[in-house]
Amino acid sequence: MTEVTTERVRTLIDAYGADPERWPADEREAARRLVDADPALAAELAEAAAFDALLDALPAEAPRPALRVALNAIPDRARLRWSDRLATLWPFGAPWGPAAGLVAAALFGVVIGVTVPDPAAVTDAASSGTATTTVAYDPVAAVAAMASGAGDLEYLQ
Amino acid sequence: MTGASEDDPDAALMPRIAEGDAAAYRALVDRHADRLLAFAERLVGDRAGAEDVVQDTYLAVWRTAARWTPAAKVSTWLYRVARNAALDRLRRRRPSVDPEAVTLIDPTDGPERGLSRRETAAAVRRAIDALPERQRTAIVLVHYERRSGADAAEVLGVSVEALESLLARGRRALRAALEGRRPDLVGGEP
Repeated sequence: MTEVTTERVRTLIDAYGADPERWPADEREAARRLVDADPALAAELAEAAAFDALLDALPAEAPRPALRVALNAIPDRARLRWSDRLATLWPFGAPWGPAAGLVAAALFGVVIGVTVPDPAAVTDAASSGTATTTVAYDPVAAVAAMASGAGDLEYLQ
Repeated sequence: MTGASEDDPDAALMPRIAEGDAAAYRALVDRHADRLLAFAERLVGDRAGAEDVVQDTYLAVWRTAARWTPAAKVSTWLYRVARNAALDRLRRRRPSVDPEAVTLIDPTDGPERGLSRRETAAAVRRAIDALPERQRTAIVLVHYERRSGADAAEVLGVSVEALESLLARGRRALRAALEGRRPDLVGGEP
């Protein structure tokens, strides 16, 4: 049995209250004997007992049956099959038809992307084959060209 | 098994729950749900919130039973999970207030005499609500739930000495807050 001092009994009463059943088991009997032998400690215990009774004025209400039902349903809710989870996301019947359509559309997009030439590359090729000549604008030359009837010139300002 | 689980009647349930045994899970509900509800209600201060806390606690049990280790009693682990769920709820409810740092306010709000037992209970409720969270949890675990000091210290993650300090400070604060109401209670039902 643990040695218990008067000061330790006061600490126990301050912390745990008056009911020795709440005190640490290994100190309980020694503390009780000290209280029995010390009127001052007995008075402090009585004071603590009145305060414990005040705290006990706060009752615990009975649980609602609905809570127990909800708690017992947790395993079933957590075990929802994948098809059930999918049904919560797609509540419009079997999801396989729309899913197949989505996959087909994606495949079509890949095929188009692979087989159709790049439009930018086509434009480059086309422009490289023309006879267009680009030169800086020279008003004198322009007038001379107009006068000589030369065409197919493109001037950039 | 080792440690606290040797004399823990719930310890055998946990491996079964971890394997998906719903019967074992429901046995744990039967044994502890009512006490956890009372514990949670005294922490969060209302029944609906306490029911949510208990549901969060048992959902965590079902999903994470494999994480329980025999070093802790199952019931102590449950209280720890419930306390964390309650703290989360209090933080969501009062985002501008740190529940760990809430300090006691004087709940005395009017004439003291002639109070019914129900009014006294409400006064106790308000005084407990006003305690800092760790003092409140310590008082609820030891006084109302009758957990041992060692168990309560484990739930709070502190030493037994620190727990006793929390208890003593909590009881002193409650005494100060409820001083005027004591004769009304001792007189019993009006």
